[in-house]
Amino acid sequence: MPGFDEQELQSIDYKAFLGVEFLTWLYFQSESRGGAVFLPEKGDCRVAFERFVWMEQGEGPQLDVLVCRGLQSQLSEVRAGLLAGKKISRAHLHIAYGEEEFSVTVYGRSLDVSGLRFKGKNGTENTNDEEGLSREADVLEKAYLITQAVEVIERLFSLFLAKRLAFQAWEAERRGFREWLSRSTQ
Amino acid sequence: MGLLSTAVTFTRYKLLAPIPDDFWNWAHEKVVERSFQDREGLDEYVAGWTPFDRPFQSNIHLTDMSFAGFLVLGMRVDVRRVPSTVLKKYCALEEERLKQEKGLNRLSKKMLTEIRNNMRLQLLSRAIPVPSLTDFMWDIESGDVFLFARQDRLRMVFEDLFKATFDMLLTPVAPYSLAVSLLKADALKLKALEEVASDAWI
Repeated sequence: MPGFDEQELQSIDYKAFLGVEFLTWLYFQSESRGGAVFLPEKGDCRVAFERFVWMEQGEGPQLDVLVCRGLQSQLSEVRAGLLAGKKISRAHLHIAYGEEEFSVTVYGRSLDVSGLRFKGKNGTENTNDEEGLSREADVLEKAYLITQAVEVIERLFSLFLAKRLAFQAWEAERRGFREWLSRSTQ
Repeated sequence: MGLLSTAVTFTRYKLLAPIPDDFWNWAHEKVVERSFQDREGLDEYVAGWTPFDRPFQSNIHLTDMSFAGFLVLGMRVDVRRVPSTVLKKYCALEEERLKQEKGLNRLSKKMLTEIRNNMRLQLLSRAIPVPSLTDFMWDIESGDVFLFARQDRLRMVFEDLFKATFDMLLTPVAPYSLAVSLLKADALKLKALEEVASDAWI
């Protein structure tokens, strides 16, 4: 694969800021456009930030962290954090697309995922030997849901990359971000 | 914690190596070689594969791990630990005993090290192994591998066991590696990715 060497690929921290900027950009998209993000081939996807948002600025001993909690993640606190130059390092998201809905915590620096729950799917701990078919169905359903959720997050990340890596598009996006933030904090 | 939990937590990896044509027979053979085996001994940890829904069973049939295009297995890690305060206490008792036995005021550094090493092994042999269980899922077509855990210790054990079993290197999916795989052969974008730096938005 071009563009990187083995060691860099192994390092989770290399350009990890991209994951933090992705969550921050997603928050801007979600808040400024009523939560709707258009995903090519998937259609409209609704993204809401819920329960908590972790923000950070700086690194090492200078790392400054702000945790905003609440049903709507205390929007004013998040905006104050953004105004102070902080970016979102971890967030609990609710994402809906087509007939599927899931909630998930995404960690910006690693893109790890925790607490992934699918609406209407309670999950089972099926250990009944006589229900081999049910066991297989449970595994395949969960595997399908997980891969779909991963695909949606990946597509959102792709959208972000398309803007972030194109100079003019990114300048326009940053300008839009500043204007939105200025309007929403007045 | 695992694939069928209501709330799923995972670390995602990507496999870059190609897989053999006769994948399932090959994979089953490799997995059986590394299935979990209870071992007497002084290993601090023992790790191996199990059926994902029967973590205390070592026999793994192909049907236990093959689910259409997904390979799903449990990873069992039995850990023996000697808490440092316990080790300290028994070392102190042994040091006192030896001083009295040999009529010494203090013991040499070499003797202290020897006591510590012996005591650690003695205590380790008496410690009950504590099993830690997690699942993993391998999407054969896409090369995505999901370990249903985030703890560093489990990740390291998993990466080692996976490498030892399949002789394949797992690459953790992180912002940069994901960006590289999404940009594929777009040379301009890959160049931009190399040059991009964190900057202020305000």
